[in-house]
Amino acid sequence: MNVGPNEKRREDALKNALIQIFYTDTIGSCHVENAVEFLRPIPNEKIGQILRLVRLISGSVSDLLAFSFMENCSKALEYLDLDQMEEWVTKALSIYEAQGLHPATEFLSRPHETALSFGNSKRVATLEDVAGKLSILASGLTERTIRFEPSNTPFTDGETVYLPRTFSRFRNLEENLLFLKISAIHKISQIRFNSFLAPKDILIKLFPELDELKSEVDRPGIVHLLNILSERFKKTDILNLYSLIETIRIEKRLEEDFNGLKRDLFSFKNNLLKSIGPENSLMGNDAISQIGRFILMNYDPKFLPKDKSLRGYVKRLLKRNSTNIDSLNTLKFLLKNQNVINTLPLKGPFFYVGTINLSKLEIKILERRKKLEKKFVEILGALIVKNQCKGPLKKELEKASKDLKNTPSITDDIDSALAMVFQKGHCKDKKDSFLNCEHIILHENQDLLEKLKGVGREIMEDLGKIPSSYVSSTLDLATGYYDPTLLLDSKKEEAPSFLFFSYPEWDFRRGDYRENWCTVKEMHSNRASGNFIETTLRKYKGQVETLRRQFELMRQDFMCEKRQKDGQEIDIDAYVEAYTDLKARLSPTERLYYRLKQDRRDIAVLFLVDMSASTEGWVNQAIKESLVLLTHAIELVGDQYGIYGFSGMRRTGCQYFIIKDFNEGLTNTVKERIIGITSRDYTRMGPAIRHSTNKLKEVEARIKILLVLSDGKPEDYDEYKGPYAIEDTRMALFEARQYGVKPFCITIDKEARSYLPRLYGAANYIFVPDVRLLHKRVPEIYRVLTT
Amino acid sequence: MESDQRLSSFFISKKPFYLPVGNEIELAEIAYSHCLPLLLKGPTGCGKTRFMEYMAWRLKRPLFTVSCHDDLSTSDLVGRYLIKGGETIWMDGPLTLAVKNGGICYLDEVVEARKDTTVVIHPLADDRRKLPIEKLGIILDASKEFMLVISYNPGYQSVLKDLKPSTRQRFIAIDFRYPDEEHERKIVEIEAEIDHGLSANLVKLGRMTRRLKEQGLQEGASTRLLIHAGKLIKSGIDVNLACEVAICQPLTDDEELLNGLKEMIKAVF
Repeated sequence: MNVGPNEKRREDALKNALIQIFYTDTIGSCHVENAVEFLRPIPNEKIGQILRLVRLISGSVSDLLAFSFMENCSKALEYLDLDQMEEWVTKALSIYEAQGLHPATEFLSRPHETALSFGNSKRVATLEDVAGKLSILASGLTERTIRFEPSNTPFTDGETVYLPRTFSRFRNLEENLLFLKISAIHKISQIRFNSFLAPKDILIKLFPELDELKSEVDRPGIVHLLNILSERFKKTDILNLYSLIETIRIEKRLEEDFNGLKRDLFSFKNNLLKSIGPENSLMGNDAISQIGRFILMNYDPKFLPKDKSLRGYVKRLLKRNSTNIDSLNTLKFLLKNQNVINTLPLKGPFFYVGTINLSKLEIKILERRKKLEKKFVEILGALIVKNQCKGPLKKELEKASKDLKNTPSITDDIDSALAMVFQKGHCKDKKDSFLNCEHIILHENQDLLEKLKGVGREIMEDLGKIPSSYVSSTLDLATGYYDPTLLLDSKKEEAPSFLFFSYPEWDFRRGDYRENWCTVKEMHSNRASGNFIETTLRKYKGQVETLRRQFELMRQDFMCEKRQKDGQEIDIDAYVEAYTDLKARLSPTERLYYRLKQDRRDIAVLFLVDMSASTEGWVNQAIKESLVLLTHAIELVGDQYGIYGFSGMRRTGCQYFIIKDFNEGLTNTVKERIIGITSRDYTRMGPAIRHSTNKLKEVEARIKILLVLSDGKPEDYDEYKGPYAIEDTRMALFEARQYGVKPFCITIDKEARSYLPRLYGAANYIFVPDVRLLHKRVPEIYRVLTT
Repeated sequence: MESDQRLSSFFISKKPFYLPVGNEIELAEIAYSHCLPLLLKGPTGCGKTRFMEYMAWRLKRPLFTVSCHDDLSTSDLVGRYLIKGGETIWMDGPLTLAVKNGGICYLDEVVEARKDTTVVIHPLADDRRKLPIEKLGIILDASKEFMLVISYNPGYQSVLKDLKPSTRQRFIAIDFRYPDEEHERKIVEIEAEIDHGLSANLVKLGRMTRRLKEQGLQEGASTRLLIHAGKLIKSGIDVNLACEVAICQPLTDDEELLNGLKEMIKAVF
């Protein structure tokens, strides 16, 4: 490269500066020359500052990172000013410290993303901006917790909505934000209005010519159908076409229900129309353009498709009672026309409609199916249990269960499913029968029954019926015996320093305890060293401060004790009363003073940490962080507290770990034990709760709280699962309450709503949807709970 | 004469609006006829107090409402001596007034009162139906018309606020929830005097907020809040502002939740 004398001088100066920073011995002069190349485009007035940053990076962490910085810095200057650049570097350094070189260089190679967070590119909307607000709106619309994740094309798997991380196609920020919002709403509505669930037999009737559909019975209907169609026509755009047709149905429903969203859709489509300009591709007369135009023109009847039969299909979609089957019907009609297939892929501005990811969808639908089956079986099981099946009835139920297994019948709705259970297991003598249907509609069971109906409806959305296997597995659960081989298992633990305790376990099927059934081994939790505590306290510095203030306030809660024999001030109320008593010739009280007393909280709380295998990784980390923050906060208040963990495998191997005993201070040993919390085996909750209750019994306090931190329902390797586990845990909690212990549960299990209210009571549990927020929520919950 | 006047002010002369959602009226009437005390539980603003006003009107009994707080003393309930012109006179408390006049004594949010205060109702709440007044040295027998009603919100998560089992186990308990969509819409429509469409939207919004327990909102918008919003809108306040000040702000201080709630308002209206 030819350079003038000035340039040459500048280059030499740069080289010298770089050699001073890096020492050529260690990096070689060719690298320095490369670096000079990188820095050449930097204007003179900025070079000093840039070199300072290079020195900072190479001096504090790594030469390699410094090179990566130089490589990217001219690009970065397009997006960032020098101050912002400094922040950019600081961020890179912290990524380097936390995650290593590779992620840090990755970060440095994307300066435009940092620019977004500075709002430099003023029109760029980011997913981060909208996700928080939208997830709340999504909960309101769907009654589920919906997460948002980045992806290039918008789609949903039924639980998570995937949206572009950033969007800037429109002229200004508002329009871009609106795009993200509308796209998200479209996905949320696909969940709300059920775009992806339909019973298979209906689909087979709709597409009788597709023989493949009849095979693979268990594949979710619509997913299977769309898969077959896109393979048959060798076009994955069939999926987008379905999405587009569904758009009419779901947007129309949204518009009817939500005026605000209607307005948003209106202005969004105006933006779209403006952005595509006059040469837009929707002027065509093919069927898809007609549909597209109708959508873009806000369903103005003037723009209904001209083709008469297509118009009929579209009009059907506009009706309030239309379903996804109507959309599929429309799809079928369109696919008959070879022209339509030729005009694919979709042109025009329908990026917001996104696509369908069949594989992700299938996974989630199958997961959902399993969860619903489990839920159904458990609720139905609980209903049976509530109606106390015992003695001869139990035998009848067993018989019914066998009968059901032999008949491959299926039930079309929840009422007949219930009838199958309750009529087959019916006693002949009416007086004797506490299992007839009228009885279960007793008020106390109303909740369960309604829940069951809800779950039944959800199952039917997918399968169109309640499979008889669901009913028979319920009967199995309600009547089944234990596998006797499991009882033989008793691994002997031989460690003399451990303490062993035995506890009974509640067997709901016989309505009695199994005496001395579980062995709890109590031991100290493993210790681990490291600077986890310091790192956590540093990481959440702001929160630690807030917590300190909040918890100190709790401590300084003064209580005014009225009507005392002595005290700081005269209690006017008491004085007036005494005076009137005197006047009324009654003997007046001597208690005429009030005393300000620091409120003795007198609370003891036992934290019981679920250390089952499922908590591995993030969850474990989050639990530990929460414990660190919480212990620091509680120390300020002075409440008595203990931290224990539990896990184990099988009834003889329940493990109970002491992390902090009630009489221990927050010593270094305790801190090391907190760091050493690891995930282990299973979640047999009953014995752990019983043991905790015993611990709390020994503590003197007016209020005793058992706070369980968990990530799932009780479950063990053996028969300890399903209703058995739930009922035993419930009984253990019931025992705890009898001893004056208040149980409360903090969970991150999404399914919590299905079983926790039954265990802890509706108000005594809290679900933290995002494990990353656990550290924030746990101390807060503790504060609310005890003030 | 004066006491007659005082008493008459406790009667509810105008029929309060109450839309039954289940068999609560029937249950309360039967409880009344059998002299059984009543416990109303349910979330805030779902209509417990209104229900009692309605029952008092229906049964034509005076209603003595006490809003409980942690400084409430037994004398506040039973009565005390006061000084008047150098003389002392006895002043009946609301509980005594109700017992003497065969009225309904309604202790609202009873868990807020200290537990040693609430035990004073024990002898009234079982088959004895007696009220001992220590200061006067007498025991009052409650007449057949006397009824004791307490209410509380089981949704509060503080462990310090709960009813003693010995207190709870004296009552017929009626569980109040927010009314179903159709009933709630009608209630908001009539109470706030707004049109059908607006009340339907307010109820839609309210129900959406009640699904946010998992997002950290302790309680969703009550029917009362929806009515407040309706009244503001009726008086000409912009719908978004009305919902924000009457629904979002009273529910939470959390910035993120507030933004989410505002998003909901925007979606519904």
